[in-house]
Amino acid sequence: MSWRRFLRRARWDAERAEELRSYLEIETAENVSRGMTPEEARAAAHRRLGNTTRIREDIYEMNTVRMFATVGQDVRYAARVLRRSPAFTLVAVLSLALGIGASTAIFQLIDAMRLRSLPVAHPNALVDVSIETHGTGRTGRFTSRYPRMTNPIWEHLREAQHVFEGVFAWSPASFDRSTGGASRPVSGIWVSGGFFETLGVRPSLGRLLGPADDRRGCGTPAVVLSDAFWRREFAANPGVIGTTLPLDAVPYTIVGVTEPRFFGLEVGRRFDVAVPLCAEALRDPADVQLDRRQDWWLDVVGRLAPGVTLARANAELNGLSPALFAATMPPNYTASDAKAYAAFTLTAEPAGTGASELRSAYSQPLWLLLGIAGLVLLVACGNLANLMLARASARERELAVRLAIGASRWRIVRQLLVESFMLAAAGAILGAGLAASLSRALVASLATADAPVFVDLGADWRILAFTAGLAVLTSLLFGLMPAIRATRTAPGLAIRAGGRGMSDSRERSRLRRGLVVGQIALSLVLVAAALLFAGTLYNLQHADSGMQTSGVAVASVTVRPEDVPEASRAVFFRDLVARVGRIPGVEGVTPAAIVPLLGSIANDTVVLDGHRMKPYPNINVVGPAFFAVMRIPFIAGRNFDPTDTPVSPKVAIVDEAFGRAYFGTPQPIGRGFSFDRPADQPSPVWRIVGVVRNTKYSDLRDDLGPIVYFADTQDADPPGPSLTMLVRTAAGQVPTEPILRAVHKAAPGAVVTVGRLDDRIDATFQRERLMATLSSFFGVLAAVLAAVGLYGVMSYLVARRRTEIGIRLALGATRLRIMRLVLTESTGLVAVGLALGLLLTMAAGRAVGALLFGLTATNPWILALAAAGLALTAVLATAIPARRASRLSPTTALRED
Amino acid sequence: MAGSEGMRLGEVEQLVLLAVLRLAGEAYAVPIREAIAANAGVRLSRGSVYVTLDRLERKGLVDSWFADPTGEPGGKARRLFRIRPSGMTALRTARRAVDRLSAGTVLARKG
Repeated sequence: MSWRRFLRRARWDAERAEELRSYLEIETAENVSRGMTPEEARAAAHRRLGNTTRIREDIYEMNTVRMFATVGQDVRYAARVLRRSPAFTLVAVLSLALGIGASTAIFQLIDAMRLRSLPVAHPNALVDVSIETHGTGRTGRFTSRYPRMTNPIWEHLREAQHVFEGVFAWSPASFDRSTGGASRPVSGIWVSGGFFETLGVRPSLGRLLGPADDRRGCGTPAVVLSDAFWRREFAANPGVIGTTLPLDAVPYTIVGVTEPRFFGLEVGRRFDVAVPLCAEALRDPADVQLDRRQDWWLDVVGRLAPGVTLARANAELNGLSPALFAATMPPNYTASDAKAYAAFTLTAEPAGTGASELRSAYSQPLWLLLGIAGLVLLVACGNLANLMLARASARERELAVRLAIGASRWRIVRQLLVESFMLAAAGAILGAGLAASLSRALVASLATADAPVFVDLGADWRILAFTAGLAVLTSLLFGLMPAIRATRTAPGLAIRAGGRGMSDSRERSRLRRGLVVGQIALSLVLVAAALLFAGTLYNLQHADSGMQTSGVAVASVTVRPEDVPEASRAVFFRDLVARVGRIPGVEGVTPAAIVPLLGSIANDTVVLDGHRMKPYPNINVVGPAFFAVMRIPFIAGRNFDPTDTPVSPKVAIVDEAFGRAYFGTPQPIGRGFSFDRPADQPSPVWRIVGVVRNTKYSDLRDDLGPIVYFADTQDADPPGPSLTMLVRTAAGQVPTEPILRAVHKAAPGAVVTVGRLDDRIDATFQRERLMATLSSFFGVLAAVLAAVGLYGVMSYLVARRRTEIGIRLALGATRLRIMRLVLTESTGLVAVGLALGLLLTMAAGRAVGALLFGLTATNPWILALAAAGLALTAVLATAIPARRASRLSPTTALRED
Repeated sequence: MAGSEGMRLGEVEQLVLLAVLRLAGEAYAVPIREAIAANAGVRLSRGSVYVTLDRLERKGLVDSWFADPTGEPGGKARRLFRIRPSGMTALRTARRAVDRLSAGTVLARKG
């Protein structure tokens, strides 16, 4: 138990110091009593006792060295052994580095997205306030990524609550800082006055926003920059304080910069500017969200007051809910909506890890990938265990001699484990380096052109612990069993066996076969997963949306009121569409309220004969050219035409699913329907004039559902400042320049973005692409590792049966027969492995079901393909040792014994 | 190969144990080392005497206690060692092993 001595050294040293001091004094006293002078007596005592410090040092050192000398020996010995077989060491370290590196990289992302707290003061006291709808739903416009509250609810809550020391509302928003021309998007957050104070964020320059900045009717509002934005866009110039920054054509005064570590409340994103909520009124005076009781766009976060528990906060929020929801009831709700709204209650839940769209989208895939990477690591460990076993056989004599001359078994096990651990440690160090770049690449792959991703990937103790833990675990996994096996040999037997290492070898080869079977089984799971995810991506990319998206460009135009007054927007946009239509190469152009397949949704409740119908149909408002541009064929009836005006009878074009859902016929031409409206509002009857083929609506993954199209020419409301057009060109090119010219001739200050629709749709497959790429990588890696493992075992078996094969050949067996002999043996292993793997895959299938599209986890074709692929790899891996066996010269093989 | 009482002694351990036995009642580190040097001609380092005594105590072969302080006020105590029965057994075992092994062999040239 030398470690205990090691740890007790300090206490012992104190005891020993005391003891030596007392000897000295006793000796001196005795010398005095013998008649010496005190000086002589002391000097004599010192002489007899020796240098006390030196003695203590000696003791200290002895207790230290005993502990480390042997470990030091083990390390030196292991280093020598590993250096002597560089190929083995290289393969071992590299496969471990790949496995550990991949696992660490994925864990790093999970850590950053899920486990790490927000970079603010005491994040654990932060709670997120949300609405419990008790099984009903909220009605209205949902206009942000975290549409949890309306502004009237927030204002009421702010005044009524007593459980929070500070509370604030915020909402992510995108701003444009260009004053005309190409857009310069800025990622912003609307924040209420208490935002920075409640979070405990400090400025690194100037001041942050406070309650005084967030008063209704703020004239020239203040803006706070993030440190990263300030450095990127203003070269960290302290002179920016007091200058003006235009956002969405509203001038803001820069008042401060936040501390560098604060990236906002959204994990996965980084804010550039923070602006007070009150400024929302300036963005589009015709459409102020602050007063709208059915615009859901805010998220409310509070810091619990000292001594207030989450339960107490919930109780108070629950208590003040009836009054709050009664006071903020939206005016034009239908009776059923109003009833549901009045019953809402507020609840609070911990918010310390921040909001994250990314987290909800990626947490399942990332855990799954971590599991996959873990399996790959396991397969790699299987290989290493196999290699270690093989080496143990080769070193049987060496170990036996050491056992025979008195080394304890534990000592040898420990020495072998030190070897394993050194391999694992080298793998972990290399893997950690690999993880750093791999996780950055992962983050980059999550980003799309529209949504850059920022994840703080700094190493923290969790990642260090994870990597170190993996190193220890893997070294035990692949080192412990071989080490124990290796030392179980009776020394005499091994030495006598004359270097052939025969002892115990049947059991050991059974173990090695078992390992290969396990590797093949796990590899099948991984290869099947890779095929499933690749298949999912393929299915998505080739899914039939019912329309033709290739060759279509999306162009968005936002105009400033100075260029185009609100009253003339409708005419301006109509002219713009016509002008774009005249661009050479453009086959068709149409405005569209919703661009298909990009995730946007508008829906409503259909009323037929006074009955509210389910399901909700999806809605789009389009121009007459929409169906031609998107290549959606008409089944019956007519297209929108110039006779459809704001004053003519309301008309609608529906898809077949609409007719089936509400009228029981795919072609309900001439039938009428209306929408659920409050009693005091007009509810026009829409007459169906055309039926088109079914298409997907917001997402390729969705099923076909009812869709209704309205003509933009019948829309009497004045349009907003933005217009989105779908443009089909003959050659499929993106006519960015001509569109920019067409827009700027009429409105020089307009902001324009143009892009291919297919690119935009493709960006929504990010998650599937990530899963497909990474799982393919891991699947191939696992298959290669398993093949190497199989090759190793078969080579070993062939080597062991050299004599037998020699005899067979000598007795006249053909070379083909010998090859078959070896192949049969490996086929058995592979078959057992594949069978086991199929069972495992079926069992694991449930974990991936939700991430698949167009196929199930038990898809027989996929499973068969995976098994066939692995079987082929296995045959190739066995072919080399089989050939070697058949080429054996019987004379040499037999002479060796 | 361990001794019949499950305790095998190293050479230094044997020397220190024998010195403790010989110094009966006066055995503390300084005279132990001196006794070994005088009788066996082995000069142990001072530190190794302490470490060996600690080890022997941990193995249960010796006891240690602090002697009563010498008369004067604030007087200091020596840490004294005493061999335990198991220590005696271990010594005997070691001795027997040497005796048995050397029986019938010629260790020294006669006259």
